[in-house]
Amino acid sequence: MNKKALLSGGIFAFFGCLLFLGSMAVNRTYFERLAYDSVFSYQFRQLLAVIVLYGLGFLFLLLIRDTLSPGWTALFAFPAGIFLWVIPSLLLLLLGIPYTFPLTMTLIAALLGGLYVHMRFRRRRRGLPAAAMQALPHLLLFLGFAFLVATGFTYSFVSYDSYFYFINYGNTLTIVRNFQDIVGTNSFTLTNISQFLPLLHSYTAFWGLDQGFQVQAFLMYNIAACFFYGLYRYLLRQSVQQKRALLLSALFTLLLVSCTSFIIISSWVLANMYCMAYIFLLVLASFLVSHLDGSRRDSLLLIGMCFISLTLLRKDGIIFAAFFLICFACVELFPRRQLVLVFLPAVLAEVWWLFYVRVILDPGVTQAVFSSIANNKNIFFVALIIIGSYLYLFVGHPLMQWLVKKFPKLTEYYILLFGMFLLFVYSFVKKQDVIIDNVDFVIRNMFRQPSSWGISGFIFAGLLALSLVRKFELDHLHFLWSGYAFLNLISYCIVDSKWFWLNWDDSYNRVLLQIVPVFVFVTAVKSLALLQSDTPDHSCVSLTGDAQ
Amino acid sequence: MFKEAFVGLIVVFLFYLLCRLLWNRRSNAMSPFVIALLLIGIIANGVYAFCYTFPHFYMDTVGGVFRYGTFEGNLFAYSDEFMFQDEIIFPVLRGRHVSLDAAGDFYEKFVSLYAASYDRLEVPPEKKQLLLARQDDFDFVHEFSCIGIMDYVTDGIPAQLQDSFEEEIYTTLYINTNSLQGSGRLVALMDTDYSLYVMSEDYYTEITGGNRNE
Repeated sequence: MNKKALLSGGIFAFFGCLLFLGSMAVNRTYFERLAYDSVFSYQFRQLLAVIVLYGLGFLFLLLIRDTLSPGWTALFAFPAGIFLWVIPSLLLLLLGIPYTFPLTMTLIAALLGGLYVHMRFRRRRRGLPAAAMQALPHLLLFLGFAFLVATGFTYSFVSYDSYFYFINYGNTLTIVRNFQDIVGTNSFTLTNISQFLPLLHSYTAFWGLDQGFQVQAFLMYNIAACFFYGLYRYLLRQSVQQKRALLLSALFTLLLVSCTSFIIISSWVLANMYCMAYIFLLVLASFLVSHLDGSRRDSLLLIGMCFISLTLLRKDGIIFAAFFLICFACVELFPRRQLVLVFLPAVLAEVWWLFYVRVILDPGVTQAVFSSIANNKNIFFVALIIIGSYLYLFVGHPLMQWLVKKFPKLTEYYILLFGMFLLFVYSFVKKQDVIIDNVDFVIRNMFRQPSSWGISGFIFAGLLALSLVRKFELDHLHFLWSGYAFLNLISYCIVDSKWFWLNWDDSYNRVLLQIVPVFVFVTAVKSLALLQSDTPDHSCVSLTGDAQ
Repeated sequence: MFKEAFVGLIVVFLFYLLCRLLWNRRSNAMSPFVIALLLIGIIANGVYAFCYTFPHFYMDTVGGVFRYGTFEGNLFAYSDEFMFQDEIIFPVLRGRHVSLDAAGDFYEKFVSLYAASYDRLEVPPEKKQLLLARQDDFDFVHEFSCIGIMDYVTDGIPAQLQDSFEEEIYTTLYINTNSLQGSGRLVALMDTDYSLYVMSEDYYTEITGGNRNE
């Protein structure tokens, strides 16, 4: 075990603990003036809520992992814990079983117990305590994070939707305990949003907490830690000296977390923050296979988890998932059969939810004025995305491969981008004024001041230029963010026929903010390639190692 | 805006050419160059965040400038900097017993959901008047703004309120916050205009003499 890392983790957790205890004295005055509760008990519950979620996720990953290192297990634990809470919660609600904390926890315990038995039965049992000991420095770091977020000194902000759709609704679900009794004639909470985030707020409400800011802040720290560790491991693998790798990873991580765009998206209590997290994690999970030493099985499990989470987070989550599925197919990172299987649970989750809202709920509810989930158009497009994704895997991808073999300068993602461009031209011809205005709003939302991007737009433009210095080429890593941005632009312009607006909360602006960590990560990986060989002879430079 | 975007693209391209030139001619200078750029980026972001983002955090809307709430050191979803201040009702009701005005049917479902327990309280008109006359004691006054939540916590909007609700004018919440500390029992009264007055039972008893001898 790395004693230095252990010591650093221990010191960090210790100071986190001191701050946590000190915060109680600060918070006590205003807290106890309003609430009939003790600030000590409340803040300990905040701490426990985070630790329990983290612990569940850690245990879950330890039980299902193949060769995933304890360090990575610790880094993916919290998102896995969130996922592990939400899925049984949704199952209970969809099956009409009372949604209570003990029942949900029983379901989770049964799942973990089943996994443990399965592991024992297959004689693949590795020492769980030994793995936990190996991950101890990471665990101490996360304990420190848990102390920090439980202080209540998190930077969070909210809009109407944060209250109506997530905080208050999540709280109400814990009291009403089923979907049917929430239903009114216009129950937007069921027909207008996906249920992932409300269920997460239910979790904190079950702990008697008023909000879920601490979970969001913890996830934000988690993303920053994953970003740092991913870059660090990548640099070590590229034979960069440890100290230098630490410095460069730290600088890029600091750049990310100081960006206004990242601060805004990760502090705003909306599903976009969680989408950002799961998108980054699924890209990182694929990076484990493409650039680091992860096994395909582990990566696919993590990617499958992210696909389901994205699908349940936002109504356009299925588009995000399908896009990354196709990206992975393009570079043949995973066998096609495995991709088909890994996308299937997300598809089933989406179909079940649509079926529930459309068929099982009161028909009057599905006709709600602002029902954006269960309307015919949305159902049609979801079906189109699902069928299209599978058609692509079975027919489109082999066809593209054939084309790429015939024309070696082509890549599959060039063809995809060209296809998107044609769609964009088509939509431009059909709705010229809408498209011009929308593109204008996208640029203004990114670059005008004040905006949710601050000066990030300018910094990102510089980063992009830097990342292309070594070779001016759009490879699959760059396609991950550019294709995502372009596809969503087209989706919003054509499918939703949306007029964008000049504001922070413009839907497309928020969707763009979601890709920020992936963008910075990709440009960092590309820019760091510049520093790896300080030799003027660049004739031997090849990017194939980066791309595959 | 397209003109500015075009100029921006040219600047980025020039920056790219500069980096490319540097890498081709003096690639060993790339390392300090990139580190310096990163440091400049981090410092610029930091200055922007601490001078602009954190202290102001404004959001432009069609109707003008609109402030988002910040929650530094706040354990509640409620913030007195935010427009939806009626969120205060949730931490106030949580874990407490509420005696709801017998005339306050409109709020019954809400109270029954969010308070730990509740009962109905017959308040004689003269006692209600006595309390409502002491407006200065109710230091928290704010219109219900997230009344949308009533979508699933009330059984219907009274005819008297329908017009104003359509114009997004909602009823008002009054709380005597000074009386709440340490008190596990509240009294909630409804005025004729459907405003809700929340106070501790101790305060209610102190002012009205309580209902025990009625």
